[in-house]
Amino acid sequence: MTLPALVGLVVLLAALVFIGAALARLSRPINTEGHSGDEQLIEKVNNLLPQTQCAQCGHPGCRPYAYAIIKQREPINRCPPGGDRTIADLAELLGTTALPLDSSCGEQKPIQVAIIDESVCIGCTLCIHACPVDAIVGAGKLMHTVISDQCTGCELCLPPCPVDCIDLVSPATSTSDWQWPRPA
Amino acid sequence: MLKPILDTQAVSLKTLNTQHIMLWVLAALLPGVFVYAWFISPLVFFNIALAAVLAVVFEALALYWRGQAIHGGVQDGSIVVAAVLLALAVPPLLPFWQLAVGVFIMVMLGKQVYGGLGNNPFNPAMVGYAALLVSFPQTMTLWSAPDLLNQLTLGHLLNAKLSLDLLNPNLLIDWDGITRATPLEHLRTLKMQGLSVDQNLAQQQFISSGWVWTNLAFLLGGLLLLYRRIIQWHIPASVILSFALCSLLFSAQNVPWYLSVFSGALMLGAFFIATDPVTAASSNRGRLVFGAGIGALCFIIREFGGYPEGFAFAVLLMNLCVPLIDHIDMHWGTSA
Amino acid sequence: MRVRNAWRKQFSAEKPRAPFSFHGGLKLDTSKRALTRFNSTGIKELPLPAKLVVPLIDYHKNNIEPLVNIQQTVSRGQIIAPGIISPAYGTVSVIEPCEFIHPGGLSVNSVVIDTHANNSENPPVSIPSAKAAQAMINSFAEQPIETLEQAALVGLGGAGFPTLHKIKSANNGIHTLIINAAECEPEIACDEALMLAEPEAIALGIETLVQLTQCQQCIIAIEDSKPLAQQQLSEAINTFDVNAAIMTIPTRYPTGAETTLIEVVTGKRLAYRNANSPTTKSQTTPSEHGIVCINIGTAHALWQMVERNQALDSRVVSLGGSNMRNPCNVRVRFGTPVNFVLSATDNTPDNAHTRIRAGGPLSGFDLHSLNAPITANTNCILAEAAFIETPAQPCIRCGQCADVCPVKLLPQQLHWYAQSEDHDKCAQLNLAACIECGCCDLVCPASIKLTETFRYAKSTARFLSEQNQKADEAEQRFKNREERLKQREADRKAAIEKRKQAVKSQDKKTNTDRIKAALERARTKQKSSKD
Repeated sequence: MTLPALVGLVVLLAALVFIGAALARLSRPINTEGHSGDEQLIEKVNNLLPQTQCAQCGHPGCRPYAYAIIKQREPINRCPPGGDRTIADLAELLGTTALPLDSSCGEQKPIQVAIIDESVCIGCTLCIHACPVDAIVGAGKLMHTVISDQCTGCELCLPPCPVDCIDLVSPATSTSDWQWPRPA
Repeated sequence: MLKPILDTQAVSLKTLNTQHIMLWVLAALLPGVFVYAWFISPLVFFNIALAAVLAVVFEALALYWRGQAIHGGVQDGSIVVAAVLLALAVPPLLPFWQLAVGVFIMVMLGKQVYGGLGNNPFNPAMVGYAALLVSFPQTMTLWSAPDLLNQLTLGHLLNAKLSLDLLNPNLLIDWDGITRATPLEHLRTLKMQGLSVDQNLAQQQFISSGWVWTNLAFLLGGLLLLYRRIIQWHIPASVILSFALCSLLFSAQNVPWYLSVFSGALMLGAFFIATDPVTAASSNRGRLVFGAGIGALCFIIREFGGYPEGFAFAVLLMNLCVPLIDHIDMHWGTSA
Repeated sequence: MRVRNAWRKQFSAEKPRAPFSFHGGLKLDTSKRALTRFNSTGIKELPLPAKLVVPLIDYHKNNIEPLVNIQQTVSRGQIIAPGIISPAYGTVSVIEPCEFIHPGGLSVNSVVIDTHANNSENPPVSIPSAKAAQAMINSFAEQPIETLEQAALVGLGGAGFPTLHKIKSANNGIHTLIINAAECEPEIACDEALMLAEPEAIALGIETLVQLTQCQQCIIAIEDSKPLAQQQLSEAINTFDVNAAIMTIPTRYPTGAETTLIEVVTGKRLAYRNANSPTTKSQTTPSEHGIVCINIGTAHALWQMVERNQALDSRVVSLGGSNMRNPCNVRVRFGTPVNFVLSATDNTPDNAHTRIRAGGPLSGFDLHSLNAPITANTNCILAEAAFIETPAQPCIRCGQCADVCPVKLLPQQLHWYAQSEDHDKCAQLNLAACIECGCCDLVCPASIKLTETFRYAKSTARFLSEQNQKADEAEQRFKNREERLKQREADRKAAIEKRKQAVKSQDKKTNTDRIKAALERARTKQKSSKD
């Protein structure tokens, strides 16, 4: 082989290696271990999450999930309450592709709030301890009630209830949050 | 069940829908078409009819393939307007099958691949024209001499036009006898040969060729569109002004600027091609920039480029800039 | 109509023309069917229905709690909920969700009043002499402005903003008081009818407003298409020496909208997309600029308050539209169901295809139920033929929508972003400033439903921002809870530790003590055995 051909081959190989490395680097989410921006990024991810605190992603709350996304490369499609909109927002923030919702975490449901059947409630306080956002009030041996404005519909109060007196219902459309229908 | 909110029927206001707009554009093209037929070649009628019919057929076909409503897509008439513009832009003696190729490219690659009306970034007619110009440079620059043309019978011409064999060198030699370059092409040839152009001769040639009259007729149609408020003044005015200004300041040829403004496809382009709203800038300020760019590019291509007429490329290049113009215009003055 | 044209020549030249203009807008054929019969019928007084329905809802669409109980007797003008008065003497029969005038056909908690037979009729407004009127106004203006609360005054232009709140929110004083006498939408004629019927009461109401607000100037803006009304009002103003000037403004839709009217009269652009920086919202309320815009119907209602202490409990409603048999202007008590209004004027729709709409042809919407009651916002009821929908074609980017937009938005771009649910971009292009006038829909050659899309995007953006706020609050509570649990855990551990320590130290102590005690006991035993 002649020298120019060798040089050409080397240059070509170098270019291939460089481009490959660059592409591999760019395909990852924009984060680096131990980078000082990590805290800010976690904060940004956390802001995009719906703050339902439902733990369906397998983490005990939205912020822990945000931490896991940035620090442990957790997939971004594990948030059923946020659904496709949240996944799209996360993908845009992190510069990755939006994936379909991981159905092993659950399905996206319409907004719901918990309601306690007060005639059945025995006042055991188990649901109060389970509620991640302090939306249930009550005391021992006294009837409990859900502050529906503050309920995130996370369903975490359902399993502990010994008498199954908690239901999830769709909140009634009030005039203040009525939306115009989307034109066809 | 929510019923329609806005009731336009309760308000009498004459508004034009897309179909009306296209019909008005076709009507405004008529004077130019007739003058063109009179001075340049009556074959333009044949070209227009062929292009329009083929365009509708191709459009219907594309809509069928795309699974769209054929009737609703064709009836807005936009493709007929594009076909007529393409037929007016190509030389009248262009073999019919080449015109068909141009129409096909116009419909498919100029419009439908982007998702049909409203989504195409480039002017479809100019996409078709540019494709023809680079594919068939010989026949696309073969303009007939008006005086000689009138001596031939229409049958003779049609016969030649329908010939698939026009690229046959023998035939071309034959045609050379009866064809003559357009004034613009003539100027270009002279310049290539390093010859100077006599001003009086050039003026005579410009006027006698009929191109000036054709341009005036298109100007008339354009003014009709302006009067009917189908188009806004911004694009035609800035195209013509910037072209005139460029030729006044920088033209090395001995042709006065007021003649070069009325030569070639400038009026047709300024009023009918550049004003296509789909591919033009969307704000008035942006339209001024868009038009000025077309005028300047058109002059540059005519003066320094490899083609005698540069309007198509000027339009396509400025189409390319439209998203940028729109973006800058929308965020004008913001730091972001 | 011929008469009106004659007036136009004679009078419109006298009044100063508006010094400013606004961008875009449309000249519409403002045929007003309700007004053509005005000369024979005037403003018809509607009888009181047996049942009135008063929705318990405020300007911000929030539910409010009633202050009355079922079976309670209420007098006319009695406050039955904060900011809401009973429109008639009667008994509260029930408080329950009832349908009201709403584009989605929703129901809202309402007080239903069975009216008593011996309700007082509305006497015609008496007009005192100029001197007596001035005295009445002076004494009224001396009272604290909170007295107005009893009047339950809200804007009668269509939005229903509480007037007292409007006046009070102008912290830096009111520079310009604009009396809105412009009705630019076709079919709506209630204000013009009122100006023709009772110009004196309006003039006196305006004088009261001038005194109440202490404004530096008061401008009555009337379109050039209403020369007769302008003449009548001008005479009344001269008679009572009202400190207000009439200004003739061009008849171009939507001049009557607050934003555009303020621009036409003062040249100030309040809700525009800021040309220099579209990313910052430049929306401000008129009150911040010392401008207050009040409808002439509201001025008329204020005079009723001054003259006979009567709260705002009725309004003039235009009945129009192509399918309205007897178009007319009627004075309707609030709470009167729409079907009562229609039947009392012999306008009950005779076929199922007739659509009954509330509001004007452009700004209004179809009613879901004719049981919905008339409120202060209902300026117009229309009966229209069935709607033939024209399917939308693709946008050809012609830009006509931007040319007619009175608040200089970019409807084409906004439509694109609204359809793709890009609410951030919509906010950047200041979608919130859209006044939903519908001009863009009218000119769009492709019949794209722009306004509908904008209404959808605006309400969705609002909903999403509320959701966001809720999420932030939930996060805060979650954080607090975590903190609390951590604290509790730490406390618990500390307590255990403490107890362990205590047990340990206590144990040591007690062991030695026990030993000591045992030794002591042993010693005493030994001693006693020795003894």
